[in-house]
Amino acid sequence: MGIEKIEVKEDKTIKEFIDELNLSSVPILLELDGEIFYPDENYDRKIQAGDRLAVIPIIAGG
Amino acid sequence: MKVRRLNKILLYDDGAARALNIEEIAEYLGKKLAKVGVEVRGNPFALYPLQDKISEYAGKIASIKIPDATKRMSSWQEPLYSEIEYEKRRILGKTTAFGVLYDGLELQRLFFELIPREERSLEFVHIFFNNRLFATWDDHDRRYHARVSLCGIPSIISTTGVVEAPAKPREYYLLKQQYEMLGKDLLELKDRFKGGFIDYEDERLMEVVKGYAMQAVFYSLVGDPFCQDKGCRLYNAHWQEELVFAQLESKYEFCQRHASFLEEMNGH
Amino acid sequence: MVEKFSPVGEKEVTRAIVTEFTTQFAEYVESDCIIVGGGPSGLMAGKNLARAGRKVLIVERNNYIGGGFWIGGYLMNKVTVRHPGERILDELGIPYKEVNAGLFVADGPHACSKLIASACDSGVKFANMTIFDDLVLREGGRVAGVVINWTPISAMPREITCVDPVAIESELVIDATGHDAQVVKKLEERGLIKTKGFGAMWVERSEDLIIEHTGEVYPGLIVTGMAVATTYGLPRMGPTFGAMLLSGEVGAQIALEKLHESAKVK
Repeated sequence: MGIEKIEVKEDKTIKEFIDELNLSSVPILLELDGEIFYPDENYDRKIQAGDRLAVIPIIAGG
Repeated sequence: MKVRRLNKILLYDDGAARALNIEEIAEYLGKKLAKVGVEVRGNPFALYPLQDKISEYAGKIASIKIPDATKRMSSWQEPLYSEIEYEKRRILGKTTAFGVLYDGLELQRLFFELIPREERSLEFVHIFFNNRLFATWDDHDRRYHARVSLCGIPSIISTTGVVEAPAKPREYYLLKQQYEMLGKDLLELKDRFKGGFIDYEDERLMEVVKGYAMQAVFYSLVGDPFCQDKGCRLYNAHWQEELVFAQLESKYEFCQRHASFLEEMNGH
Repeated sequence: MVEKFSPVGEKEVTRAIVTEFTTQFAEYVESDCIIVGGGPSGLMAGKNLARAGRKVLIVERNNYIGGGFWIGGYLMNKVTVRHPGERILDELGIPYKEVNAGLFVADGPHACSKLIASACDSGVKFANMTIFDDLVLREGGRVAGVVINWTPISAMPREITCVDPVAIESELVIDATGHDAQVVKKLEERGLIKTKGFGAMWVERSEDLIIEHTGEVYPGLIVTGMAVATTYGLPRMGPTFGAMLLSGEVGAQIALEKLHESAKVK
């Protein structure tokens, strides 16, 4: 559990980033440059080498 | 634990969960996290300019109801007129009637729209208190499970979830079946188990919700809302018994680890 | 001295029944509102509509009127009502006891007979032993009436009976058929709407949800009572009748508004 920060090694899209980490069916949020967004609403967004993305799991209680 | 610096804790409440006193929760959180400001924002629907989009928004909420807890929703059903009207009345505060089951992740996604863009980061702890019942899909036993809370942006805490999600003792459900067959009112059944679980209009509901609010805060602080210690308020109770113990009866509020953590944060 | 019955012959009796019945039937081939289902929500809706001067016909498949209101649960004839349903009991003059905070109990026979009598006093007419067979839809897709037949006929194979149903028309139809939601289901059969089935049974009590969702489900069709739960997939509620009575009341209010609106248009 917890938030992982991942450094992007080469330019790609958010979709590629998610697929590479096998996270497409895991409920998560992404944070980049201080802003949080839903990955599947930003699949085409481009990220660059050197960008640091935080992968934030959405966690249910009860 | 890597700790995030928190900017502010923001509490939202659409007024439907009548048992809650948000000011009291704000006061409690303010004491626990002395260095972080707590702001009571009130009704999330009133803040966002929904004006002419209320019908549209209501339609979206109406369409994320879970029709069958054993089937995973892959596409959403067209809501009927009365369902949209009901959601509109809920948004406008004209009714607090609850009982409909929603998909928690989709609900959270809709609430996300109401958070100002510049505050969409974990240093702002957004907590929506409400009485909508929501569930999330569990791949292991292949069904939806009702939840008390869903940590994310915003974190949602449901008073109906407090009552319905953690399971009551097995005996209760067996007796309930009998009562239903005999046409006996369930109020009598609840009397039998008095105190053992949290019910609607339970005066202990407020206290319980404070614990879940702290879970949402820890989620923002360290990415994990829970603790393994059964006596700690951060314990993720799956049974009513566990919930009552962790939130109300345990000799300590937080375990040693989390208590020291809070002390450190408050600069002691 | 014992009073003797008037010396009326058999044929006069028969003539009286037939004449009265057919006169009423002919008169009610057209009405303001047809309510399918003579249970508590249907009776409440009918009573309130008739009291407001509307022409109301209740279609009931059984010989007896009242639906489940005679019996509480498990053949035990006490009916329970939760607050604020006791206001209706007061209005109908039904005696009751408060057995728990906000929980009231009345005698089934007393409650049910008073409600039926009240509906009759308001001017509601009944077609009992009559089943709902199908909907009448107007051009443009509005519900404009129902198709009915005698209940015993529907139980027999068509080959023996082939008794055709008849259509009766109205401005509005109310589905008060309970769990079956028969009228709504007919619309679904025609692909005109999709009901939500039995929703996840999480919350025990959802009486106020039933009332919140009572209303028009399709142009010309209003749903009340347990049929609301079936239509919208709402959680089944515990066995109390408050929601049925209040839902009927809300259904009548909505029906009156609709009738008023359509009168203005004409």
